[in-house]
Amino acid sequence: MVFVFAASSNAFASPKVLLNESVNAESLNFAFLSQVFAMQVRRWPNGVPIEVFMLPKNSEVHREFVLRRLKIQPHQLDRIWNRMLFTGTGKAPTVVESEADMLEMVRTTPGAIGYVSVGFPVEGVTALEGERP
Amino acid sequence: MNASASVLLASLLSLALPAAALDLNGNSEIHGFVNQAYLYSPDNPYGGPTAENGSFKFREVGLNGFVELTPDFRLAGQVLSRRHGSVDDGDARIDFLLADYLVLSNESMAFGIRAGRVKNNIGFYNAVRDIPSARPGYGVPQSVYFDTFRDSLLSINGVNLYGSIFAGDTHISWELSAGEQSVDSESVEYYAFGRRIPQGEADDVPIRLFHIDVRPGFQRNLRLGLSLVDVSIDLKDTQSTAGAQAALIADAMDAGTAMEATLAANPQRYVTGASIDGLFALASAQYSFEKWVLTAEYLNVETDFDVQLAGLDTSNTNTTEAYYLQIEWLPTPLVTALVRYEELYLKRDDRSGGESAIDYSPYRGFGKGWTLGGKWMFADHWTLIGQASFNEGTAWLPNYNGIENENIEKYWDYYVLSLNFQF
Repeated sequence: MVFVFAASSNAFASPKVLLNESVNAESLNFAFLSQVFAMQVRRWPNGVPIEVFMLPKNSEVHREFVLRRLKIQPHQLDRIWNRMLFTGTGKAPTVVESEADMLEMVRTTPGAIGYVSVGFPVEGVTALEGERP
Repeated sequence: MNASASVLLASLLSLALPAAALDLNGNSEIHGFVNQAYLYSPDNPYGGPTAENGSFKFREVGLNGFVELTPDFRLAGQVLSRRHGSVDDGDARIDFLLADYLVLSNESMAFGIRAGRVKNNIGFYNAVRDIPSARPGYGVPQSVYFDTFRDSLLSINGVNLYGSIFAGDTHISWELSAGEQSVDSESVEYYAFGRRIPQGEADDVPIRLFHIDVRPGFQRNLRLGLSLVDVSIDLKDTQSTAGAQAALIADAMDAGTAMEATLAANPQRYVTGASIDGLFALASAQYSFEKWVLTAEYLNVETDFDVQLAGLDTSNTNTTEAYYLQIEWLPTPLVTALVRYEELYLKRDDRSGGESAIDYSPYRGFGKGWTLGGKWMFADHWTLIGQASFNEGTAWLPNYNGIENENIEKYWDYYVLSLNFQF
């Protein structure tokens, strides 16, 4: 049991951020990252429009990503998106159903940002890993 | 339900059936909700007499959409229908309809402009007070968001400038709005006199708003906000001075009292002109910690009243004050529970409300209350919402045409159960 728990917690350790190769960034600070996922920043520094992708709200990878990489509670983001949608001031990220879909969308969409769990193999995108626990 | 609300509901449901949220082509989406509540208010007529025996006349329907024409330019609109007992009849209305142009956005700041009908960001909840999924419990805190100015402050027809600044890890967002809004003069009359006046309508009034929201870098789970709103209301087409004086003389003779006493007893009957200047200041703080969210807001409203009674000018200033403290607990991502305590004083220096007391409603000058609430998202798109409120004083008991014929109790509870569908 201890073994399984350790393995799964490692799998969910600080999911890695994925960037489309049109985005020039070697690191992103969590405050900026959290504003990107809160849909408050709409262009990358090089001018390319930002396209944000997320896994379903109830997925463990999403929750770990928000907690560990954005350093806020998942419900805070939910509330921000809901508020923007129903006050006409913005929208929520595009939801993809799996990590494979996430990789594909980020790889093929200019300006895209997303995330996958740390152990998920990726290719053709820029991956930014978080700090090691 | 009236015809327009039925059409809205039918079109909303037909849109909702085939899919969850409608993503039309990646650059536009349609969303909406239907919320049906059952409200039981055994002690006082909450929003109308039927609630005293339990009422289903509390229903909200909304449908919105946006289209992004370019990454920086978007159009958005929302239609709402709100049936709220005898207070709101469910007529469909345009909640917002705006064009939004993002002028500038980079890693250190953003700046944009919206024009059209734009929702007013006042405190945490004003802009979403008609959105069931965004409210804490069934309703927004009634102390700070009391009904008198709700329609006047919901939105403006005008211009909204918005922006944000990153200073290190600190994030500051701000808004400036200026425009006009039509005023529900009846609710202002109840606020000022406790009754309607015989004649008088408010024109569209000018509103200016400033809002700032800060997430400090040293504590990212903290949000601090300040909202300032300036609004001026003039009542037009009130009765003539001659008519009011004639009515005053006739009433005094009928009652066999002096004219001064007659005037003092029912000032609202002799209003020949009125204007109200209001300055709202709302301070907000919210702290999120793991499964807990603590929220507190404080409202201060300074009003300058200029009222002409049967041709005689009177004026006074008043301060209305309110605050609430709220604790939300989110044991799972699908469940929220909350407890809230709040107070509202129409006149800050008259805590017992004696100066605001009128014959049918002796406790309208103050309100104190506890609220327990819960939300359970039991399936995708579906949420069950419950709330129980225990109140002393009736400052936030909604006014409606006919409330002056009721006996208003000092201690009153109400209970709500509602079902919300949102896509």
